[in-house]
Amino acid sequence: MTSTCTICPRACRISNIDGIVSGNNCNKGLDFILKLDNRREYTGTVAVRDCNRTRLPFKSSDRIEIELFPQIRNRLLDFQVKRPVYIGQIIYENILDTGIDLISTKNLV
Amino acid sequence: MLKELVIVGGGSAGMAVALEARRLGIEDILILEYLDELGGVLNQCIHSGFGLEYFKENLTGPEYASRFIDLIHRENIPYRLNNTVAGIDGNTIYAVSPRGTYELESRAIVLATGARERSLSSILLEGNRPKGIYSAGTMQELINKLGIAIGERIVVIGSGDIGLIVSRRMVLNGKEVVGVFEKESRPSGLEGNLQTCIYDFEIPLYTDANLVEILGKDYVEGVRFEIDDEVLEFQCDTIVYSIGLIPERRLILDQTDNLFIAGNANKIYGIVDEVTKNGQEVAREVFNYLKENLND
Repeated sequence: MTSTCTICPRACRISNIDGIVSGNNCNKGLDFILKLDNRREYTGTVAVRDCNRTRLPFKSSDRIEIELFPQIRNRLLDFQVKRPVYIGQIIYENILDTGIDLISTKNLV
Repeated sequence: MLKELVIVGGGSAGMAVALEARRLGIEDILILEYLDELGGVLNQCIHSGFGLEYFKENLTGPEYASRFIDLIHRENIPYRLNNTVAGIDGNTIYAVSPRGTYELESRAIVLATGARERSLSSILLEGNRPKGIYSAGTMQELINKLGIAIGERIVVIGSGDIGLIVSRRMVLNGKEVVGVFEKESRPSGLEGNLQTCIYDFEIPLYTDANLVEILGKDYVEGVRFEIDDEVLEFQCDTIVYSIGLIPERRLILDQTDNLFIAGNANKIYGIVDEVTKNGQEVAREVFNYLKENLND
């Protein structure tokens, strides 16, 4: 998403691509572009079957509406992954019918 | 057994030292890591925002660590997990493994032991020290690595990036963060983190807030802060503090010429990309030292 910042007359063209902001010349611009968009990357960890020593971290394949975050957590409360799991592997498809997958961010063998 | 280079710590700094040292031609390298995996604190920093400088990509902590772990494996650089270094004396390293204690000799030693968190007890404070007070790093480790989320109503002391990120993590785990309290007049975390951790979740943020008292005898029951010349009381069952990091170099008794310090053990860096770069620089210093002292 690219937008013109309206905080000051400088009117920077600011873009937000997958949460990476560029084009802003100050922190107010950063704020401005982030507030226009209520979607954020979701990260968390899930339990690993037969392993109570560590959990598997994951991220969402795309940004998700912040309002859905509590539902994602609830959906994953009893969810477990099986080893081995590799970075980039989908561990949960189409979470809450958003079309967005949850992707492992760690190798666990 | 005399090694060329032993690196104490297998986090971002230690791995960067090892890889750059190997690239420069140092063959006999060993990493000693006290946890059961390489990657250090990155493995509990499951949020993204890492690697924007070094890789020009937005990675999570475990992803950033894995890039280097893969290279360590590809280069066949030896490492020992669950091995804790207990002391360093000149060229001698005293270590503890699950099988017992042992000694190692190394021509050069790099301390890449990261940082520890400043303790709340470093703030002079009257009153009790009830149960229910955790550092932000401990809380992050408990939630992200072990799935244990302690407390229901949580007060966060300190508005540095770690405090902000852990505040969001607790909210994502269904907790109520009563407020983030900062003693300075401005929050100290990055603007982006303020937005995505605090404002996104409508967590109250108090500045110019001085901790006056922790309430509760056995368990935390609340806190008192002085805010704008007024003492306000907040009920909570847990306190999380994030009041700064201290370079972890308690292993240094004697700064000998063969001892080098890399990453956060040297100074606290704002981002991990800089830790990686520093590790590479330290490896070059080690390389020059070993070259100049070939006959030692």
